[in-house]
Amino acid sequence: MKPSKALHTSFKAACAAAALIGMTVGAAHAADVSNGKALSDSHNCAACHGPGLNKPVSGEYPRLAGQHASYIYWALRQYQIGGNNPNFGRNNAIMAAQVQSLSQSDLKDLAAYIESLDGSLVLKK
Amino acid sequence: MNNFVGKCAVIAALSGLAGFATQASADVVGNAKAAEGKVAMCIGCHGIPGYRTAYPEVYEVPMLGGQNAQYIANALHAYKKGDRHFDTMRAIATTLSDQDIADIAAYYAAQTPQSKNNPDK
Repeated sequence: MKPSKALHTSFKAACAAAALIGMTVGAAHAADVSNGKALSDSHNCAACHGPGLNKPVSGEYPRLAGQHASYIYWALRQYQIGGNNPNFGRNNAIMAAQVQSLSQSDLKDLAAYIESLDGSLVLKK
Repeated sequence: MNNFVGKCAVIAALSGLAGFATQASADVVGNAKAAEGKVAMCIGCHGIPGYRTAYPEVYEVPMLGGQNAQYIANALHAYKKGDRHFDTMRAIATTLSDQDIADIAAYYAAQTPQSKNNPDK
């Protein structure tokens, strides 16, 4: 192999390695939709929020599929905070029990999964 | 055993709450058409794609179109009472009557991808 070609090959390899590292670091911060789906299944969200989280079994429960992830995350976080704080938090026995054991990144994964679902929520004036 | 007793207590409490909610709204029937003139304060946030809150946390305000009417009505009543916490929603919800809340809930619940935007706005 010519020296110039060897240099070129090693440069390409270095670039590929850098790209790989970048992807791995990126993935560590991005929400994990597949973990969100696993959590949704293991917590039986569909038992109340319906198939595809789009047909709640009662009008009291919200339709979730396609809802904004940042809103879902904050709603779940508020159920964790509970009803004792005058400025934050939501008081709901079922949801408080559901989210108690989840980490912040679990909540973000769940929110990303919910946003990824096709649903009948729409934005209209 | 304790777990079972706890579950029964939760179910009993929720049944009580559900009964109360049904009773409170039994005499008020929502009229989606009547809400067209009542949602001006809603669409300033909920009608703008990508609109975000600023405090206490930054997040996109929820999509309301196609949501269950009873859920929306319960949420508005909870903001009015102070059980749900968000200053802007509380300020708006306290100005709404039970009839306004029922109308607005019916208005959003009836929206589909084919719905036209509010002709009044």
